[in-house]
Amino acid sequence: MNYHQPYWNPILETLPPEALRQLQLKKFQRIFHWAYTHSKFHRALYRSAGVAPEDIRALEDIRRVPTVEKSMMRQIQGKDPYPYGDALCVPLDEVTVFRQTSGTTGQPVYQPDTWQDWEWWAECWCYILWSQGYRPSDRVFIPFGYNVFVAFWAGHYAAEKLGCEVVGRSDDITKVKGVLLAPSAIEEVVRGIKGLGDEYEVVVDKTGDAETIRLRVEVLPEAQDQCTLIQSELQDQLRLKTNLRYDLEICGCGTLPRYEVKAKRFKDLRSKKTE
Amino acid sequence: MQPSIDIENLNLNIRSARKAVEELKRLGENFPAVARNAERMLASLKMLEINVSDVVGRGCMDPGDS
Repeated sequence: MNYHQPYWNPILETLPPEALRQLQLKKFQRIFHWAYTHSKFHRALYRSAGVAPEDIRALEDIRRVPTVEKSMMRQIQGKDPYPYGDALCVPLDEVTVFRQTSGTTGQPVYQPDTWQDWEWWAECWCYILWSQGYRPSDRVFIPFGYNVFVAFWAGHYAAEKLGCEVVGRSDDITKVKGVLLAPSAIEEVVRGIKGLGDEYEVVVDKTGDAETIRLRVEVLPEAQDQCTLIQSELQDQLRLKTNLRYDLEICGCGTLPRYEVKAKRFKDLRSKKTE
Repeated sequence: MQPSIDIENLNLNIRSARKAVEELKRLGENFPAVARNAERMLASLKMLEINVSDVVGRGCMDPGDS
């Protein structure tokens, strides 16, 4: 293979603009037709906007197609069939990968994909990585959490597809009480327990030789009367997933500070005491 | 100067590869190791179609083709 080839796809990336627009239209028509005929949710959305596949004849017609908002996706997740409602465009048994958004701005949005979808995500990233100069002889280091969060996985797969040696995961793993702890593991536990909100705060501290982990979580208003049960489940799950014991504090909804940056939910006060 | 690319020939080979893999998948109906690997190959083949075949005749596949 020619490593000096500047394009991942020398055909598509050098297509004249008019031909590219023609191709884009063809592809949009195809994907729109697919969504319209395979997903009840999409069909209902498009029908309510009065647009059908045969109406898309030129790129300008795309303006007539309503976009799918994140809030709609969150609403779908509460409908049957669990957990994707009627949004899927393929049979459920073709879904092979589950990921979700970070939940920074609210309830995480689920992302079900087929294997082909992931091939496509990786393919898109291949265009980027190749144009940035990544080649099979390179070693790629991807410092992300390798958890259920959807971002960066496609980058990882793309780098593999390119033939790079991929070295991953060097997030904010820290050692507490002699045990390696990934803050993302705490997040996964908190967000997996029914009745808890998405916000949480972790404070690792040290008194003398003893290290402590304080975890504050928010209970949703409708689960206020189940605090004891939730606390017990939380402690069990944390023990199971992280092998550590926590001082738990269940707070009312809306009492914890809101952070845009996830890392700020994890505070390690030990280093400050040794400075 | 970019070396010339025989896109028609690429497309012909992609089409025959799809035929062969679809046949493998059919033959593997009672052979999960064949069927599932063929399924994955089809996903890769789709990427070849997106990269090459769709451009031949400016995306001559009909709407609804997967």
